[in-house]
Amino acid sequence: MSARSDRVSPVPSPVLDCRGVSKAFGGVQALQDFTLRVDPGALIGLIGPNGAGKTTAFNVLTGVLRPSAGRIFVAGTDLTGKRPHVFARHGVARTFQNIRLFPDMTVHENVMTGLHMRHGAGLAATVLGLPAFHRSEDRIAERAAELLGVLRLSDLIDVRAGDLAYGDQRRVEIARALATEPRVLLLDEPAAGLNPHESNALIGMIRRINGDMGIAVVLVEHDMRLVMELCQRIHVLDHGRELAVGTPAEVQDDPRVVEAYLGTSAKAAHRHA
Amino acid sequence: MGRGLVALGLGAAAVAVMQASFNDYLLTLASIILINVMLTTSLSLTNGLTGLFSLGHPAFMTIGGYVAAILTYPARRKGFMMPELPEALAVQQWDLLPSLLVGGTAAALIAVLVGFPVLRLRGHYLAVATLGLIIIVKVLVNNMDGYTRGGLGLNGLPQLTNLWWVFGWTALSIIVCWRIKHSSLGRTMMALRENYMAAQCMGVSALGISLIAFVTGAFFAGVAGGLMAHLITVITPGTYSVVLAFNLVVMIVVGGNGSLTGAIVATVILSIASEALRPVEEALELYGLSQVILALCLILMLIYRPGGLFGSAEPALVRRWFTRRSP
Repeated sequence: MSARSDRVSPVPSPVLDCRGVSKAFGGVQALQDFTLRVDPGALIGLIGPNGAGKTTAFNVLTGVLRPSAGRIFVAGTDLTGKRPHVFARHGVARTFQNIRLFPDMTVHENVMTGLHMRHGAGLAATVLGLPAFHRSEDRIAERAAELLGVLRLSDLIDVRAGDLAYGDQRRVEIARALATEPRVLLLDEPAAGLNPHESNALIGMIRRINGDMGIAVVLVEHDMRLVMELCQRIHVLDHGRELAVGTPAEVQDDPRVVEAYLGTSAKAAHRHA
Repeated sequence: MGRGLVALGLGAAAVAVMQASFNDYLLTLASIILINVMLTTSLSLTNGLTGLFSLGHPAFMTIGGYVAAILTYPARRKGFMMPELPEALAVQQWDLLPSLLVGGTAAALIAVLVGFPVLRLRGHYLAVATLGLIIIVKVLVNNMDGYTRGGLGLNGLPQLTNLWWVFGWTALSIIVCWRIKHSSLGRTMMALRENYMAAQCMGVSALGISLIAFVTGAFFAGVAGGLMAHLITVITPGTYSVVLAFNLVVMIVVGGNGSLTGAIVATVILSIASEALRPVEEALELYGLSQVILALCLILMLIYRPGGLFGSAEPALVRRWFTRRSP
């Protein structure tokens, strides 16, 4: 497994390349020697029991937390220690386990916010009302509406985000992340709290994002059906360390993974099942 | 902006009527109220829209006020009043407009200096830092007596400000704040207020956007300080204090979290109310009554209508009137 970090001259340059990253909170090693390589168009799952360090990994990968050790490259640029908006600028977008929309803004405005960094006008153009400002505003409004259309969220465009149903909040959060025009999208438990019907719709949505839009996706998820159905490769974390990595089938059959999820005594039970 | 011009014309007409019919007292009062409007609208960029908590406006007013006052001061009296002023400055006697601009710019520069280290941090740091700034500026002005006459303050300033000047600057401040609010830039400010971490993950530079809000506000506060100084013809180190910062914050909270209409309405009402209470205070010998009532307003508002009069948005009527329709 250590061979992966020693790879020489990778052919397609990875959109996200995280090398030997550790994060400690006081004495607690939340993440240890974490290595993840996301190639363009990849669809990768990150699983593990509660407290395994999955969300910490996401926070480090998006600049929300600074790693204690290791380096993070986004599309070939070393962004270790940079702030979240720099990660976003280089093409990393994310959603949050506990949804973080802008509640007092409409769905349209939420998505438009994501478009600001690439299409927004500066202070001078805004204050002077220059033509460039009006063009930028129109482009942002159009693109946001378009994106909501593609994701089949047009009905919600004028709804205040704080008033949305739970499942819709999850989808709008994904739309907002896509508005940043990312290379890679990190989804933190996108299916949490969704009913089976909604999570089916989510699977379709992630497929469209990954397949049609060509955006690499990394997802943390507890819904194994969703993970196994979608992901090409799965990393399993436990106690901040990588326990296993492989295809869904490989990971599912790995006794260490079963043990981490169900405990030692359950190993036998799994075999019988 | 066609509708905006109509509003501007109506405002100008109102000013013309006031100029023709008001006595000096009422004209000064109207000017002070408009300056307050300029202060609250510009402060609402940080305190309402971006969700920051700045108390810095009095400091920026003092800076802008002193800078403008030194620039407009009659050259023949400068040697006596400001003995340490460099020769190059001592012979100058500027008009109001360039003095205001330089005063506003000086305030904006100080805002950059204060904001750059502080606005990287989320939380109460800005409130504490700007509170400190009020005191630092006061102490500096007190001690630079070769330029400022220290605690005596500068009096006998030329009365260059009139209602027209104030109206023009207040209108400009409202237009700038309105445009920022109803733009992509304004949405990123609101996004920072609504969810700081998510906004940053959407590519919003917390430092950059907060600085824009803070520095723009400081510029207008600096200009307002200059206008005020040349309206009441005197400025002292203590003229603009924490009490003023408190009053402005109350007006914004009462008006609504980022609503410009709310800030304007609340400022006009509260300014008139506190002026109207002055004779009552004197008759009852209850000085400070208006402060108590203002504080009471704040408490009642926070209990019964925490979003303020208009919340974060502009009232639908105002919004529809001014918003540009897409062709």
